[in-house]
Amino acid sequence: MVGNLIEPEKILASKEILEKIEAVCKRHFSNENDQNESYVFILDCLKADNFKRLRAYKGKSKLTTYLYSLINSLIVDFRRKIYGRRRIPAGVAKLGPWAEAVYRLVCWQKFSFDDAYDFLQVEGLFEEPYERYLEKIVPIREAPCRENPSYEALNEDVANPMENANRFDANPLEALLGKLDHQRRIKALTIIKATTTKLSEEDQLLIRLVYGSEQSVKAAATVIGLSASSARRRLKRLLIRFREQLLAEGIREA
Amino acid sequence: MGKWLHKTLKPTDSVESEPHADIENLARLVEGSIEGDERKRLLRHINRCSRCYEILQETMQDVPAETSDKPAPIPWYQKKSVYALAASMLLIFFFGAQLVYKFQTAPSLAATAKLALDQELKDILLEDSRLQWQNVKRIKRLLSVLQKKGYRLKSFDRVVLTRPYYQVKSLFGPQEILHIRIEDNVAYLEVKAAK
Ligand SMILES: [Zn+2]
Repeated sequence: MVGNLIEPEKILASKEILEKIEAVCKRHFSNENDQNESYVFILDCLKADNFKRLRAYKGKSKLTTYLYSLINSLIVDFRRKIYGRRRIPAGVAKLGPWAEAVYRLVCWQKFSFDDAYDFLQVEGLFEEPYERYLEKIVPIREAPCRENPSYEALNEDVANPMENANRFDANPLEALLGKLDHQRRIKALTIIKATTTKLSEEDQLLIRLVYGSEQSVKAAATVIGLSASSARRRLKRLLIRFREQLLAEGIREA
Repeated sequence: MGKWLHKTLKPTDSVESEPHADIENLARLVEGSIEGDERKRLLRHINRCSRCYEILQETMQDVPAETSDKPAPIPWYQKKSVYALAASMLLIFFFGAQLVYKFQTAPSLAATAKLALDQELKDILLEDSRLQWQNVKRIKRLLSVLQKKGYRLKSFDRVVLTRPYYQVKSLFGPQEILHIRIEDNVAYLEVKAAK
């Protein structure tokens, strides 16, 4: 009987499992408060409704993998909960959706103001030139941000850390983006996004996982049902396609 | 993680009309034990749902770690006490001998050092991606961690990362070494893979 597959009380009494939960919380949050709070949140959710979530396990995957999926889904819920608690300062909100997006990106997600500008362009939230952006974000920079104390500093003087990184052998698309200026980067990102959504479901997910999430090719290949070597061949083909699209729009390495 | 693509390639459409993927099916996907139409439907959803995509991608990060030979992670609440002490003793044992004295001014103060990058140091490095640290508290925290580990270094009031540092994902948990060089009150940091 399905109900007998696991004993939820035993799972939650296992030191090993509790440590796994802790490790996941720690991986997700750098702040000790959030680590503790998410840990308690997860345990509460697992116990809720007579261990409903644990009892839903049907034995089709390994228990550990199931638990990791479950814990990560609860982390997503937890994050939504704490983000929901956070408020965008009124002075920022009144500037419009673009300003809220900047605040979210810089204060909560810890991107720089420069990066936020590029993302706004890709999402079509802000159409004006960079100089206007710098003028318009002044009130956003002055807004309080509890989550990110170094928020005010706009790191203009710091070299773009993406430029001289040598880790991009595995991610040629990101490497290219790091070499482009604002305008061309925005264009390239738009092309990459559009090209991706036109691919088959398997290829899309392969690209997202390997170049967006930087998962290993092997792990991504497992997900889409390929061997690692076929996935590697497929990625090569896909990269050529991206390259062609970018070249067609006049984007090349400087 | 590549910041541009990470954000751009994450699915943004929210599929409100259909239910989210079943947790167990996401687990099966990670294991590669789901096939045919069932997988096709799942992939279609994940490519359009930021929530399910995130759960999948995070689970993929946890699961390979699981199969490696790495010892179970120590709970964070234990790390600060006994573990920290034991770890720093081990560090001195393994790396103490590697302290290199290069630009030496005072006899007992080193200007360069190499030490194993542990979680505590990693947390400080990953706090933000600036190459020049501007946050005084962060610099002080680095100093105090180094002192706690038994390193007697020349003092510094500025920190420069000579190369951006990113968390390296690896099945076997790569051993990384933090190289420190102090010159004119500036600490230059670089993380290299252990040979
Ligand atoms: Zn979903």
